[in-house]
Amino acid sequence: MAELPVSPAIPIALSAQALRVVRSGQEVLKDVSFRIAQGEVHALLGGNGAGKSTTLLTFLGFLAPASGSVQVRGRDVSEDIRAARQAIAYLPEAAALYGHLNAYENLRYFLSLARMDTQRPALDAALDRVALQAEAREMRMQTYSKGMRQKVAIAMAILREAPILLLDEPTSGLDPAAIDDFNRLVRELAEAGRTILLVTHDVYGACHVADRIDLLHKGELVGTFDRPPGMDRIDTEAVHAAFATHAAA
Amino acid sequence: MREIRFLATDRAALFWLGIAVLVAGVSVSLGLREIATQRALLNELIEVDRAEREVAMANYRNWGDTAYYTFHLTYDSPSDFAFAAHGQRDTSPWKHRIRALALEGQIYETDADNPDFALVGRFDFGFAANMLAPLLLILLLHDLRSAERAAGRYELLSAMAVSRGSPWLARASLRVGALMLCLIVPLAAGGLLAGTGVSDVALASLVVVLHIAFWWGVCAGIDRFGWSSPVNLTTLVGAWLALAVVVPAAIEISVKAAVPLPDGGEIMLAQREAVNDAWDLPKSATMEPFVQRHPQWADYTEVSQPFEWKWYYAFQQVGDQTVEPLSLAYREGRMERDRLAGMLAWLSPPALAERALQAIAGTSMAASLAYEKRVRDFHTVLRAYYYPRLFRDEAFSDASLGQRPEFHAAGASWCLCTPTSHPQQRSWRTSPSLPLEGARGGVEKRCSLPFLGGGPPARCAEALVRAKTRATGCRWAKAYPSLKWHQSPCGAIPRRLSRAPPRSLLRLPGPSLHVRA
Repeated sequence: MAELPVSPAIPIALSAQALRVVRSGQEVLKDVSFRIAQGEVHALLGGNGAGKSTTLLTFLGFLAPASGSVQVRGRDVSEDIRAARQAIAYLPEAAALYGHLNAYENLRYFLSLARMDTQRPALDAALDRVALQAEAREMRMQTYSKGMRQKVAIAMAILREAPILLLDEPTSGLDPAAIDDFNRLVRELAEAGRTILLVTHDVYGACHVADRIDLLHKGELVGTFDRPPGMDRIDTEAVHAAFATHAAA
Repeated sequence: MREIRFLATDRAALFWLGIAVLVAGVSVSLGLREIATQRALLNELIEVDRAEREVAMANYRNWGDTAYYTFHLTYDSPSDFAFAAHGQRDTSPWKHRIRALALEGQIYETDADNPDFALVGRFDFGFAANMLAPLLLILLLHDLRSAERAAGRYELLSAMAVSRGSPWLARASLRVGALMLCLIVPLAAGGLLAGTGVSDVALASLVVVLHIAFWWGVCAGIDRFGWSSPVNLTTLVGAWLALAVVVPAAIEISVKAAVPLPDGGEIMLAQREAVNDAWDLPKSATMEPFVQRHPQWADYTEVSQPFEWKWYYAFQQVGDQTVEPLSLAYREGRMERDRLAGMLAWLSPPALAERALQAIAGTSMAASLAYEKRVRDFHTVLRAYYYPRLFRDEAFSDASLGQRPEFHAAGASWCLCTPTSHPQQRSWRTSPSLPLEGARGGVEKRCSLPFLGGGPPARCAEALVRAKTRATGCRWAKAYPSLKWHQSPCGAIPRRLSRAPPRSLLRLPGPSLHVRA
């Protein structure tokens, strides 16, 4: 298995070693290993049922490995799930925030769970970063489109101020312009030192935003693609070809 | 604070909590109204009873007629907490008109209530707290996690939470606490209006809290399986049906099967037949069994006239004696049923909570049996008053009539004691009431020597008791205003003092009989 060259000076934020996860009697992750250095954007790419979301849930301690281990900032998740979760901001796929609350109320409620008392200016700044219209912020979220809800969820992940972000299909429901904005935002966060593991089946987006892509197929890592030095993106053609080959298999 | 704000926006939760307040408020209000109605009726009956007795006193100037035509109202005043749990007051009699004739017929000849109404039962606080509140709790808690799972928020919420158990424990405890408040606040308000003691309200609140806590445990247990909301709801409602409906019904059926009883009507009929038959029997057939029970009147059994009052009252007494085994079996059977039901109630927390509330309210089966026993005791006293006058053919006098015992309820205390040499109570010697300082209105308190032991009643008017007590049977008098007394098969035992003798009991010197204030 290919390893990302990591400088010994850069600490490892997330790692999976020989990870095997069984759900409902079915092996959904098979001997998966990878490491993600601090400040890196890492994409797990794969089709439906590849085991991408399962990987994220294992890092959050919602699923226990059948064998192998997952570590957050060098510490085994099973040893201290709370500590792992405190280090992580998680954006689930199609995050269903509370429809009877508006954007501010949702953000305040979820952040208060993390004992964060975030004031209105900070909320507005985060919502500005995800380009949520100001006039929509006081409206109940049940009136939002899927993209608008996703923007609020992304804003929440930003406001969480955790060193690690786990993003499950973050661009799902966003329009192309919003996807571009999101990709820019992810790069900015990484440059600010945040570690980002995103799960997607969007080959184009992953190639643009990630430093490394691991291709998952039926629970196995079947390919790894790194951003070549000096290039602004991973070779989309190569990734797409590998993706298509495995999808057809 | 976070969860309070969140709860304030949860319309479904607010709706169910609103229903809880409404249900508790209405049940307390109906309970207060019912008790007020019962009190008003009793007040009216007391006046009517007094007026009737005065008429009888004016019209009849011999002991036989007076005993025959004078009725005495006996009643069980509702306690100041009875509004919360009507209990046996719905189905068991709590007022009688007693005279010195055969007792059994009088005891079991009661007002006929609408049987349909008895079937439905009253909508009291006990029903609201024990039957409906668990359902409301289930509706509040069944989808606490499962709805979040279905909405895709569960992992996000759990991942965001820093504290262990957050936000689930906070959410659940807030809903549980809110439901408890929705029940307890109307109860406390009712208690305030009814003048209930703080300890009773506190005790009842504790029962509510423990009962709700049990159901919280059930909800939490089901929640651990991670099922969907509909499955959780179905399972929990099934558990409620089982514990609140099926198990109590099964308990009732099995207790009835285990302890068969004659019914009160059967006793009444048998007694009446015995009394009616006596008219056609030789007088000796009446007087012999009578004297066996009352040997002190053996020298006065000569009946020379076709009709003599002493013979008439003797065959009334013998009528009671005839059905005594049946009556005793009935009473003991009811006590045994109650004892068994109390044990089996541990299988059904709603039934257990209901019994606890009824015990606090003084509306339990034990309280009902205690009232019946008070009626019997009073009747014994009444007979003991008339017999010397009838058998010795004493001259009728107003002064002697003035010594006739009267039934006391509110503010009075019966001192009913069994002579220690006759623990089987063949011959009760009773002393009607010592009105004791500070006794709480409506709650009669009794003592019973074989179970209590003794001790001084600090607040009792000691000098008064000493001066007026000359009873052979009554060696102890109770003057303990703040305690309610639980009935035991043979007498009364204070709830918290069943092991050690209460210090506030007074040992009375020597024998005495018929003590009146």
